[in-house]
This record gives sequence, C-alpha cells and structure tokens, in this order.
Amino acid sequence: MPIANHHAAVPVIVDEDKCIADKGCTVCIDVCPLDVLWINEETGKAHMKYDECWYCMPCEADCPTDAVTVNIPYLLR
Amino acid sequence: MKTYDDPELQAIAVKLASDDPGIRRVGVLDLVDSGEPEAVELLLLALRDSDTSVRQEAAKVVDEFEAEDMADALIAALGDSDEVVRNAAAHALADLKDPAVAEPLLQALEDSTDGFVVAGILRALKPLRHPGSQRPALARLGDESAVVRREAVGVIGWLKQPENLPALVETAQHDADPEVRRAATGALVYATPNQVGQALIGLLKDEHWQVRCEAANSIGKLDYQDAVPALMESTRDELWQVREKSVDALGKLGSVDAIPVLGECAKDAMSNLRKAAIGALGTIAHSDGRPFVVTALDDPDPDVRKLARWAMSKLDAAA
Repeated sequence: MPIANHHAAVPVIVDEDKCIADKGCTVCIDVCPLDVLWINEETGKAHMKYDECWYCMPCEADCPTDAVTVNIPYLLR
Repeated sequence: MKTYDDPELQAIAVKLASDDPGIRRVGVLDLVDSGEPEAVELLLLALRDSDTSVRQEAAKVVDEFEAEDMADALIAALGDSDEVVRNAAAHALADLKDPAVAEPLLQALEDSTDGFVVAGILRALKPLRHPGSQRPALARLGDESAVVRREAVGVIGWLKQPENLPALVETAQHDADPEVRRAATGALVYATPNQVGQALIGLLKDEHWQVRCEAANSIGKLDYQDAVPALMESTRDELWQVREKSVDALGKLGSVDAIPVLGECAKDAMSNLRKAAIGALGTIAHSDGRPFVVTALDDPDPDVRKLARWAMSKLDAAA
C-alpha cells in the first residue's frame, strides 16, 4: 500500500481561468503576510507555494477577479 | 502616448496603453498607489476605456481621487453602458456636492431603468437639493424597487417642500416596505406639527417596530403636544425599543401629565428603558418625578444611577 507522505491539497486555491497574474497583477502576493503565494513560472498564474497559511483572508478579499478561495479547516471555522 | 517624469507613473502609463485589456486593468490597480497628481489623467483615460472590465476597475477607485479634477469625465461616465460604472460615477459626483452636476445627474436619471443605478443617482441628487429633482423623485415613490423608493424619500425629505407632504405621508402610511415607511416617517419632520401630527400618531401603531420608533422620534422633534396621550400609550408597546423612543419623546415634549407613566417605565426590567425614563424625568424637571428619580439612585445599573444623579441636579435646580 502506498504511504501518503505529502499534502495533496493546499488551503488557498487560485482559479487559473480568472487569475490575471500573467497580466502583471500581484495583489494576492503583495497582501499575503507570510509570503506563501507565488507566481507559477509555467502558467504565469498565482498559486500557493508554501502551505503555511494563517487563513487571514486578504488574498481572497482583495483579488480583483475573485479568483482566490481560501478553504478554512473545519476546526478553525 | 504622453510620457511622465515619475518612473512608476510612466510604467503604469505603458500598461494602460497596452492592447491587452487584462494588462490595462492591472495598470488601473496600480494607479491607486501612485501619489502623483498626474495619475488623475490616466484614470480619466481608463474611465473611457473600450473594455468594460477596465472601466469597472477605474470606477472602483474613482473615490480615491479628487472628484473636482474629473467632474466632466464622471458626468460622461453617467452615460456609460455598464451599470457599475454609472453607479460609481454617481457616487463620486455626490461627494462633489456641486450644484452644477445636478442637471447631468437628472438627465442620467431619465435614462436609467436599473434600480441600483437609479438609487445611486437619487442619492447623489439628495444633498444638491435641486428643484428639478422634485418631479422625478415624486414619480419614483411609485417605483417597484424598495431601494429606489427609499432614496426618493430621501430626496424629497431634503427638498423640504410643503407641497410634497401628502405624498410623503401617503408613503409613510402605506408603502409595502417597512424601511421605506421608516425613512418617510423620519422625513416628515420638516413639516409643521399640525400638518403631519395626526399621521405620526397613526404611525405609532405601525406593524413594524422601527417605524413606530421613528414616529415617536419625529413627534419629539416636532414638539407635537397633542401626541402626549398616544405616546403615553406607546410606552406600553410590546417592544422596549419603541417604549424607549416614546419615553424620550415625552421628555422632549416636557409633558408633566406623563410623569406617572414615566415612573412606570423607570421600574422596567430593561435598563435602557429605565435610563430613558430617568433622562426624561430629568428633562421635564417637575417635582412630581422626584420619587422615581430618588429610587433610581439605587438602581442596579450604573448608567441609570449616573443619569439619576444628573436628573436630581436638574430637579434641584428647578425647585
């Protein structure tokens, strides 16, 4: 049986169809206090590079195209 | 393309000149952080952009800039095909409070059918108190959208024209939406007490408590002495919020007849109501109220005790 030794999902999901990071937008990256959001070199879109989220939400709130969704874990809600 | 000395602004200008609407949109996002006075020029450019998303983005940041510098562009934006842009323009123009923009706003009002935008334009017209807004505002009192009717009430309230009172009373009494009735009830205060007093007494019985509160408030502001019996009855309303406003109003009217009723309220379980009652007894400052105030000096709520001491000083001063 394979052993799951890494997270398959991160809490911050970026909708690549909506994200305009490839046009030069860096709003979510700029507001993140932990600097865990990054631009994906291949697609030019934002994504969560490090899973160290505080669930503070400005990335979701400030995204001009509503592309960011933060999934807050059940126990923190 | 015009070039700018400030390198940041120049970079934004380059973005705004791009063929890609996405890049122009990001340029507008950056514009907000630029402290350069010339940034307004670029914003005006973005407000006239051919792409809706760019215009919307520009409309969102309009209020970060001085509306005076772009009044003409905002007036033009009132005719925009996109509702978000029209609404943002109306709001920014409202901040301007310049009587000269009333005419274009009225024109835009004629041309708009969307409730959200109509409400935004009416809100912008309100503080301008332009006589031309009277007719459209009266017409919009019959609009199907409650938000529009509510803003129309606001415009009429600010115009303070006696001939609008019947329409306003009608709205206060019979509008289907409680918030519209509440706004209309509050707007009636520009009348003389005799013109609207009876209507306000009737509104003390409205099915919605906020309308009842507002009616009590308005009676207090108008100092309508004939409403004392009705207000005394309202101090037994099922909701303490309404009882509180009625007690406040009785205090404002300085009604000595109401002192026993206010004494009742000073014993109510709700401390906010006790506070209002003691406040009213202090305002009336008649010796009949003294026993109730003395009792309140030992009230369990410190706010009531504080007010009771104030009321005592008023009673002593009056004695």
